[in-house]
Amino acid sequence: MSDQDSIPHPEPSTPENPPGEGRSLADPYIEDYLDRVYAPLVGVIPYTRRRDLIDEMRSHLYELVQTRREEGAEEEEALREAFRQFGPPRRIARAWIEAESIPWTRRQGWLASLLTFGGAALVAFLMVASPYSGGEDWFQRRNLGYADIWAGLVLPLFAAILLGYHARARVYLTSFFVLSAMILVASLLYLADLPSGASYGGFSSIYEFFAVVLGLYWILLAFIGIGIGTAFRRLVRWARLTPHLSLPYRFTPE
Amino acid sequence: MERELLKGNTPTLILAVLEEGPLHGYAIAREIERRSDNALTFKEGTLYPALHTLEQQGWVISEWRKTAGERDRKVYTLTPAGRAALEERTRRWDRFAHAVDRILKKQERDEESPSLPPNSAWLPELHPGG
Repeated sequence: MSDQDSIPHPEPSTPENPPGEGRSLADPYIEDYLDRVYAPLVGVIPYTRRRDLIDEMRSHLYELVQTRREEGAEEEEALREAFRQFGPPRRIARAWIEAESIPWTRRQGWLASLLTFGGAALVAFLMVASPYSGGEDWFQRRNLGYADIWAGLVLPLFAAILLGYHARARVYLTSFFVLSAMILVASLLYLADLPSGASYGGFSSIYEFFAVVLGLYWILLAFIGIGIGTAFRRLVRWARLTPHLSLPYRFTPE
Repeated sequence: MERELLKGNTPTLILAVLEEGPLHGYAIAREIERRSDNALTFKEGTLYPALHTLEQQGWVISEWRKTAGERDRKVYTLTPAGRAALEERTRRWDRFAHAVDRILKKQERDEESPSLPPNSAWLPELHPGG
């Protein structure tokens, strides 16, 4: 590839030292590796800073390779070890994207979570506490609209899928559990006041049973919805224009 | 568990290393490795986003430095605000580590709080004889 005894040291591009002029030949494998870190950052980090941080990483990589060479490793082995020690390029790119965008993503996620689950929780609670249901059997109610079913049962599923697609599910799963717990407690407290009807498996009314089922349904919903959303996001990423960047990085010297 | 703990604490480790003096990224990685006696390993590339976050928070400053005959290096220096942040985090870590120690190690508990009741105080039927 290059001289046996020396690794080429390109000069990093600083404002005083722009690339292209008088730069020695860079190691193609290191440049390829850096390209894979660089590519996902286009549009996320502005050009000057992107170039700067790539220069920094290049410097680090060269030092890693040099240390290995001084310890007696062959060039290929030194490169492989350096890449392994530095980390997979995708993970580094992702770490950079997170460092850039975390506050907004979290805020966006909390807002989305609040609006969707909060809204659906409110509607479901109203369903249970509706003035129609006082003392009447739930199955006898003819005026239960499709809107109630849609809002209380189906919409939260869509909300969970959206959250799973857009964001890291763990945080929003927490908020979901909080809201589910709240609606469960609120429903049970409210229903404690209703006149007791026929017994339904230990619950004093069908509405109490319904409130518990709803809470459990929502917890199940979170897992299903967020799972679907995450799977969908992976599918979309896999199908994008740069499929080779989605594959794990393998150092393959030619 | 080690990896999760390390991920959250990488910024703190960087601050601690920089307390001794300014360093560039490669040297910070080596120093963390050296001080932990090779017990802590992590992907070195993830240092740089962490350094950038620290810089945004005003806890370190960076500058490119030319060295004679060598490539330029971006050197990071701890700021006074960074020093204060490091102190605070060290305190928090000490409290946390001490609390976990107390739960895990009977000897430490016995030394500090000899009057703590044993498990049998909660469930005497499961621990006959105390």
